[in-house]
Amino acid sequence: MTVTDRTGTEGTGTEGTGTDARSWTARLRGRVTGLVPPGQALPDRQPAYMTSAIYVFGVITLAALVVVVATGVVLSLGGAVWWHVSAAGHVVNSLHLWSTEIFFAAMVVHLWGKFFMAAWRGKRALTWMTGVVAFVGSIGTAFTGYLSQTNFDSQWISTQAKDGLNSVGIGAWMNVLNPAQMLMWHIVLMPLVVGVLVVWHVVLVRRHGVVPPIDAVEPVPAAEEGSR
Amino acid sequence: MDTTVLGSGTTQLDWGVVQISTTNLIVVVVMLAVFALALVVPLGRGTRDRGSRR
Repeated sequence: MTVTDRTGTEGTGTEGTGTDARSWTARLRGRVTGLVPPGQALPDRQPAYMTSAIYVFGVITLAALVVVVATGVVLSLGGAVWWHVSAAGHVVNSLHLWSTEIFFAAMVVHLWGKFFMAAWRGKRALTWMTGVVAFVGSIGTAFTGYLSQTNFDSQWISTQAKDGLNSVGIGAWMNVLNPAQMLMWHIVLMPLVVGVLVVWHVVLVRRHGVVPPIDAVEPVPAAEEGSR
Repeated sequence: MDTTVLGSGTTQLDWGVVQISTTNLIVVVVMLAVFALALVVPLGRGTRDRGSRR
């Protein structure tokens, strides 16, 4: 493919003028483009062993997370009174709850599948660990969400949880009786943590490829095959 | 043995150290069933490589 610059000169678009490989933009570009092998960021072909339903639960989890975040944004616009008293608020509130339920159910089936597949094989230990930490972070996000319902349920949960958190010595930093702190954790801090972990996890999956079944031979990606 | 938590309308199953609501038990059983099915159910037709495709 050729491109034409503002002076009318044709080229591949990668030449530039006075390119300095040490510049931070060049170095950052190299890091970003080198995160996954060429063609693997959004592949249109997958190994034959992936024609099994057990391989879809990661994507179901991601799809549910998109709905969770989207409905959460709408809830934050409307506020607590809106989601408690209006019909539209009830619908969005329910969508937020049930997409969270599907998120966790799909994530746990994904976890079972990957555990019995020993998905940490083939230099995938960091992929496994980012998934584990994202799972734990998701539990914390859901927990602060239950504390942010602003109803008797959230009061009950917070008064039960405070003793547990105090007993392990973190009650002073994570005060479940402080609804403002828990709401901020739920809509800012925890989504940021989980979001970074999920993006990191997905990039690692694309970088190392989907783990094959234990007795299967992993195919060589076309990009790597061509470079050999 | 099953008991009902007052005011909640839920039935709790109580087998010694294992205590769970029937609702949660149903969810767990459904998840296990989905997991078992996912192991055996094929998904997607799979495409064979053809020279003209790429």
